[in-house]
Amino acid sequence: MRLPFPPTPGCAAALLAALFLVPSSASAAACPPSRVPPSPEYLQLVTRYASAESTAAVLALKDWSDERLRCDLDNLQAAAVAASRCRGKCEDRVVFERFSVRAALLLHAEREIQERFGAPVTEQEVTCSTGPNAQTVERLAGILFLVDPEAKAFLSRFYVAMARRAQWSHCIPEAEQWARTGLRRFPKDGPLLMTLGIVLETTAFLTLVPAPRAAIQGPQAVRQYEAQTAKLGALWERVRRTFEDALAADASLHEARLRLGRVLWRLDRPEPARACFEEVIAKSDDKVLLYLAHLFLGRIHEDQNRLADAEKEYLAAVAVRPTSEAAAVALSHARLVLGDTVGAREAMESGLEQVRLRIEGDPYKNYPMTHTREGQPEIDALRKALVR
Amino acid sequence: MKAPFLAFLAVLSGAASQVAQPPTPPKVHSPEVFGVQVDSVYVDAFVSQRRDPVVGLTAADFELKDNGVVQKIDLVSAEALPLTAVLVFDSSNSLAGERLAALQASGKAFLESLRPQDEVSLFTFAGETQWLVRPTADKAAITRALDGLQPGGATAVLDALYAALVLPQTQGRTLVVLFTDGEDNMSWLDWRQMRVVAERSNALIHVVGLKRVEDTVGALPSVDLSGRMLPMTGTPSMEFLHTWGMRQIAESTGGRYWEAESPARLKSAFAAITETMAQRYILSYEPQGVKRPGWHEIELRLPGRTGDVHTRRGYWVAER
Repeated sequence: MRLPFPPTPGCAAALLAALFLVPSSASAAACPPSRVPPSPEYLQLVTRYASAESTAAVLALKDWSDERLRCDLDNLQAAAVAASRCRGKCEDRVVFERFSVRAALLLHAEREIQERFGAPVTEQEVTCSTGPNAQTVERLAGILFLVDPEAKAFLSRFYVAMARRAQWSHCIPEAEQWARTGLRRFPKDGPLLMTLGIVLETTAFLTLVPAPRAAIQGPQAVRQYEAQTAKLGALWERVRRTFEDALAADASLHEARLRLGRVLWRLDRPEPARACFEEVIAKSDDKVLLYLAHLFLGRIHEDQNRLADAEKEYLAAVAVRPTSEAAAVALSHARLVLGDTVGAREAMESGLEQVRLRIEGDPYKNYPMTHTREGQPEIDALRKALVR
Repeated sequence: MKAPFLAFLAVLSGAASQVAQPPTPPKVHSPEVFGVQVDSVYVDAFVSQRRDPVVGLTAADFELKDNGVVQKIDLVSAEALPLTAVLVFDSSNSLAGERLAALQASGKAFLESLRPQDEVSLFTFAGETQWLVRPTADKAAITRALDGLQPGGATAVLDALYAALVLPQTQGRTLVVLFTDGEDNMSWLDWRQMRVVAERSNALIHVVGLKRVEDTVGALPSVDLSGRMLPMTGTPSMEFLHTWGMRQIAESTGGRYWEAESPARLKSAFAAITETMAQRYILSYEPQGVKRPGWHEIELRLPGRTGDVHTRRGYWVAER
């Protein structure tokens, strides 16, 4: 089974934490209890990570034995449970004044990234997996809940960052795992729901589309066609529901609305899709979202033969993002369909020229991975915040 | 005022008499890929029987209907018409290694098969399109560009094909040879839009696909409902939209989808295109008894003979 994390019911934080905190009997037997956990070595490693030596600390974690780590985690866990029960300034609480659980969690997360997420390479086989550090992160998240009153805000950001970081490496199943793990703790978290929606959208996008039914011949091929079509339909519906849940949790998530619109368009529901794009255009000031909303709205108009409206939206997309090839193709094609062959050629030629001058990528081309590049910077930001 | 829809196609302006007497070279005006003048229509056809080309036919062997009306046709010498070959080559990341080397070698061999006066243009595409060489008779310029190809990025086949049909302003016959080894995962246009554009251009489109089932299928693995990647093993009996769509586009222009089983077979796929080009019939007529603007359905057959006729399905005339 790929999922490394035990399922958790949506209940109070302490109960949730307790579920994660039960040490294995083997480790409990092997590990002598410590009054002042963790071990000096582990404390030093985590302190190094939190200081300016994060890279070295992540590297050093490679040589850490599972046994030592399990012992430190068991003792930290026991201290955290005790600290959560004591009132005022008790000894167990002091442990967590000198030891940063957040830092430890990020240290193991970065080790997981290094070991398990490959470098993103387009159109090459991706080798990703989930390792023991992911499980350690979950144990530390449980400890954090017991000792840090602001754990929710930190962990919500962390799970979004990890899911996006995994997706950036094209580790799609791993990205889904991280998003779902976060959602087990925070089922109504808007950004997490949106992140899961993006992962599912990418999954659906990457699923091969069969040729039309009329082109499929033979009973075996027909069976494959029906299975694949049903799978795709179910996937897109799941994506739609996830973005709707994200918006129900946080109506200000303009990206979720944009993506919901695109999914509705794929599901052949142009009118609600159009409403989504128009709302993004009316309410968002994010240039990437505006560019995509104009582009996608233009397509709705074009599909419904409102070619002049389509051209207007494509022109708006070009105005927001003059170096986008997708907008140039869209504008050129709309003009060609309108019969303006000269205008079509001009738009295309100018688009290709602009692409050469461009420094940053086209958000349409990055759409399946849009914003996943924020994963690592967000982890960096969480790490830097440890020092402050 | 803009014409209401696409202008068209395999049509040369100028009097039919200029092109009706082979082998005298016709005086060719500027039949842009999307021109608007339709005095003479040129139909580029290939005839086969059990996959072998049928050669030696005359105009009298064909019957051509334009929107259901039989037309008087002439046979034009292909030798007499200038040819522009537009190469549209995939340079995405999946091409790294022997695939790229095979493509470069196949492209160069294809160049050698062209006549000195034929022009060539080169587009490459990954996530985006690059127009590397504009139409030129200088084949060395194309060779240099092929040598400089570097794989990288995703695959936006349809957008690149669109650019290749819209941008070059060609004369005479336009042959587009598109090579790709993966699924389109980045194009703005979809295959339906692209088929309409292809049908209404004057280009003959051949697509060469490189089979890749055993690996990640153009980085588009199938994914099950739990999110696990499903490896593609063996040949699925069901055809996927990408391959089917590319075939539709090619065949709508009278061309073909050629699938190379391996990089080593690429060269023969390109050679087959060259061979069929030499065995094509170019028929010319001035449309009679049909309304000019709008879509013209072409029906070409061999009454009294057996053989499969491969030609474009029709052409479009814009309102002047």
